[in-house]
Amino acid sequence: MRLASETRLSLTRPAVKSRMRLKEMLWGYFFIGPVVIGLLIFTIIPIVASLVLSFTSWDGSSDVKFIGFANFADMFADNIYLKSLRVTTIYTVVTVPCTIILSVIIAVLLNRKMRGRDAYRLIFFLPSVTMPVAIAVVWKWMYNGSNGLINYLLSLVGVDGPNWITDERFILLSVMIIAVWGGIGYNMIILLSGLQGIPDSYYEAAAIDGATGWSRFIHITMPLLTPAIFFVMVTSLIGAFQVFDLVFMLTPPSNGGGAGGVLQDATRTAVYSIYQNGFTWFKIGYASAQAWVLFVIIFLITMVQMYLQKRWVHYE
Amino acid sequence: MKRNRTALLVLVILFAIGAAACSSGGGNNGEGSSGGSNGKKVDVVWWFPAKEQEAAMKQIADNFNKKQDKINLKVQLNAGADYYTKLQTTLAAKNGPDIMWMNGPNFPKFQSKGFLLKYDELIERDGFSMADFPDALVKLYSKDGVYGMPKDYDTIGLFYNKELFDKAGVPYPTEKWTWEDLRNAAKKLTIGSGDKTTQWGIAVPASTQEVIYPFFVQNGVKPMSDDRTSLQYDSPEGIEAIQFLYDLMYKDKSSPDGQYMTDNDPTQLFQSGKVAMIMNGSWMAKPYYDVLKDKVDVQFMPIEKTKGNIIHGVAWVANANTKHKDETWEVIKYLGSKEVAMLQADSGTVIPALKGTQDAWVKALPMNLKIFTESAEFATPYPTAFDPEWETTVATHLTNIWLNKESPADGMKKVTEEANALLSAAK
Repeated sequence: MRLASETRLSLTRPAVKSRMRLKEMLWGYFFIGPVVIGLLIFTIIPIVASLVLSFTSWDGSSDVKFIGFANFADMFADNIYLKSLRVTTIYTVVTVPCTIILSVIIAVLLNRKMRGRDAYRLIFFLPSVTMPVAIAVVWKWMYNGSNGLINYLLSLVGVDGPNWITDERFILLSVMIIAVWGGIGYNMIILLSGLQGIPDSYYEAAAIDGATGWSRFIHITMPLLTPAIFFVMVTSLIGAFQVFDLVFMLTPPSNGGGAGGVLQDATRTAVYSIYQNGFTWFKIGYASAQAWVLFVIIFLITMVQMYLQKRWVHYE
Repeated sequence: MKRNRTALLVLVILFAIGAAACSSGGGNNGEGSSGGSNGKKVDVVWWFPAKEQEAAMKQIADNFNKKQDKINLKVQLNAGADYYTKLQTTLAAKNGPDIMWMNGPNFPKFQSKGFLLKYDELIERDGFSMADFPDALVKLYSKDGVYGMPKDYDTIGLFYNKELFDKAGVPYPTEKWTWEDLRNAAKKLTIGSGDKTTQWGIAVPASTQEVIYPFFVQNGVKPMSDDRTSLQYDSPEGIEAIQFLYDLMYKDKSSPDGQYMTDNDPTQLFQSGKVAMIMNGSWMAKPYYDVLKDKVDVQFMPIEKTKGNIIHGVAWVANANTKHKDETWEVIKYLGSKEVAMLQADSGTVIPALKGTQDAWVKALPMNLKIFTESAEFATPYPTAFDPEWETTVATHLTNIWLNKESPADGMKKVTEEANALLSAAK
């Protein structure tokens, strides 16, 4: 396409040439126009607006008053917000490694030739395409302390199961279990494609040298899988820091604008805190400031990961 | 080069559409461009969020438009959880509908920002009477004057399962029941062995509207001070009310405890015959009847120091910045008329607010539904305040008490302290 037009253009006079160029440029803009406009309205403008609002005390309706860095200063004294960052950190530190380790194991197992492989892959991937609401309803039923499936199974082996989602000591654990279960499928697909990109010739060479299955896994599979693991790690960390829907649906609602008490304190994540400030209490300025602080935290962690990848990620 | 120009034109149009979508924010600014001067109709725009009442609302608008030729009433459904957020945004931009649906908890915020039209002058001018509506509802939408035309209301009743009472040989609740009577009956109706309960006498979830506030009122505690700036939940009477409910769960064990009721919805426990008594709003009458048929009936809430109930209802409020004040008021008056009330009563979804129009609702089911309309006579309005955060505080400590993490006395002290700080700061 480009070659053809280049040759044709070189035969025309300069004026016509520039006009043709302009025409092509305009058509180009015309085609990307809708996407650019959509991105502007729904992403870029709101991002800029939230940055501006984070320096105001706006409540959604009154006049916009600039208050400098007061919102950011308030955060350091806001125990609820600090606790939410702590909860988010615990959640991330536990769920991300668990999800990745399990995903690697399952991806390697499902990469072998065996019967029903596609069916297993489908089963593991299903949680990724199931509606979060449906997931929450089913897990709530299984977690039910008095007549739920999990405690029933535990009672068969003589264990008196806890109140999974009505005891503040267990509710975060319950949320994390769902997160790991739901995160495996998507990561598994990414890792599978990474595994399938490893050339067979390496394994053949290793087999000739007499390497066992385990050492082949450690010395060939793992190093060559690191790019995929790195990608999964970055995206999982970003996702874990932004966890909201699971917590929102598992904490019991009360008719006072959000769930109550110790259960909410135990599971309020950073994004939940942003939601509560913004949409329950209408502290939109403060919520925007919290959102930007969270963005900076995620950005820094991702930068550190990018820096560290030199040390352990092997690109062929 | 005609094609060029076409492309450019399309591009410009696309950007224009984008810019327009951006600036208008999707709000419909209810200024019918037609002035009422040259005999054209004036547009009055009317918003409501309840999808299940759409048919009734459309019918009301049609009836109104047929009656006269000055006003064109446009009814618009704005369903979804963000109705009030949307309303706030568009009113802040001095746009928005002329008439809108308003609930109690949101009223103080909208009123304090000057978004709402005060009716007093218009009421006086036309000799309209607000005395035909329950006093508590008019109060709920008043601040320094009247701002709301009551639409419908709900009060709370004590639902009970007749079959379970008959089996246990316990007489049905009467309108003279005290807390003590309730407690004794609940004990007798609780069946179980060891720590396995198979049937509870009563379920008392930590629902402010249906359980907590009515019990406060029955014990002489105001759910909110008249000027909406303080609570007295830590008074001996307030703590006593919460202690009573706590004892039903943790001392008598005649109600499921907080953890059990978080895992298992109490209304479903009542529907499946695992619970003999439960306190709920009038909106639960039909769902309960649909499941339990003639096994279920309802009685007045128990009495302690006084009769007490909580009333909440929706009202029609008007935009303070409306371009057509008189026309909007004409519509508001119509919405407060007998004709509209009867139309709603016949639809069977809500209890209309106008006195003397509730019969259709009361007769709709073979239950003692008149207790709901009679309770409206002495009920206290659902407590509301300018700052929404105080309700979160109440919910937080109630949850902790219900989960047995705080004692009733400690919890109520903390609620009062924290909520009063928030309430007095937000004036």
